[in-house]
Amino acid sequence: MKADTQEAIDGVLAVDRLVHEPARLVILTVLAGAESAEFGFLENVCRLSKGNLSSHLSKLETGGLVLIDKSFRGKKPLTRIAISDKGRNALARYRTQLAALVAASEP
Amino acid sequence: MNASATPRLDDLQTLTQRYATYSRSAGGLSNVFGAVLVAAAFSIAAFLPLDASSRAALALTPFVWLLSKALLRRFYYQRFGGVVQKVAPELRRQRRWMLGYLIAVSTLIVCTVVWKAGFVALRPGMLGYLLLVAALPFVAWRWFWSVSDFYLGILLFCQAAVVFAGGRYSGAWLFFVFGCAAFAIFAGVREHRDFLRIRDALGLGAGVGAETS
Repeated sequence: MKADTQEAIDGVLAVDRLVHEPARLVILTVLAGAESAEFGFLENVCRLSKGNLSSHLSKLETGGLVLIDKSFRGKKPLTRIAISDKGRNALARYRTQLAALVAASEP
Repeated sequence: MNASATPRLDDLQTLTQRYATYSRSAGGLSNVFGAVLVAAAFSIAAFLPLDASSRAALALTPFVWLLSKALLRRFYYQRFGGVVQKVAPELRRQRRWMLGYLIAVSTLIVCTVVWKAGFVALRPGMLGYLLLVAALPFVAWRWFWSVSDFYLGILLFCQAAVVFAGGRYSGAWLFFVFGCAAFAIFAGVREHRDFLRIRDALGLGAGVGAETS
């Protein structure tokens, strides 16, 4: 195997899979534009069902990429999500890696 | 994922940032309402005879405006889900200057009035005046984020305080007040139209649920 091919494969494999999943990438991108966002906003903008969004947020929270705060507004539950510093760095790193991979694949 | 994904993600992040400004620094229609209140309150105080009830109504105008801001934010601009604006360093710096100025002026006014009249000799109207002047920096710290917020809020609070104390601003102020109101209306309408564009770009138009959980 040629060295540049090996390098390209290593580049693809080095991508953070937690961030790479499209729904999670969109969630992190939206959160990166704000201090925090309510669950309902993410649901509306990311076009995800409650269950699907909840599952992705749990994975991101486990990975330390987002911080979730659950409270009540009156009697209604209110979930606020914020991107953590680790999440912000992971997103920036992912985008840099992606841009480098795309640039390397161009003829 | 393809090469065009990165700019689209940038757009999504930018749109979210712009939507989030309506949680703090963008007032939209509340600027327009505030401008109308300012213009109406100063005109009424300048030209109409004021009795106790009209003075009380004029003194309430800043609170009516603050309430309208909160309601518009909660039930209109953030109805697709609350997003809190990240405070940029420039905004933080600008706010710190404006709050510092307000604290200095407010302290100066309160100290001067108390020193001249003596605290025990103050009439109830003057106490109300001092209370409103002293409360202004706290209100600004909690609710004022943009330049429009600051000058509309200051004008409404000053007007309320003076009316409470039994005085009134003369008609000579109207030129300045109407200028400020016109600027606030222009800024408010522009922000509101921008919100409609953001809403459409994010696909949050009709049919999208406003439920938050």
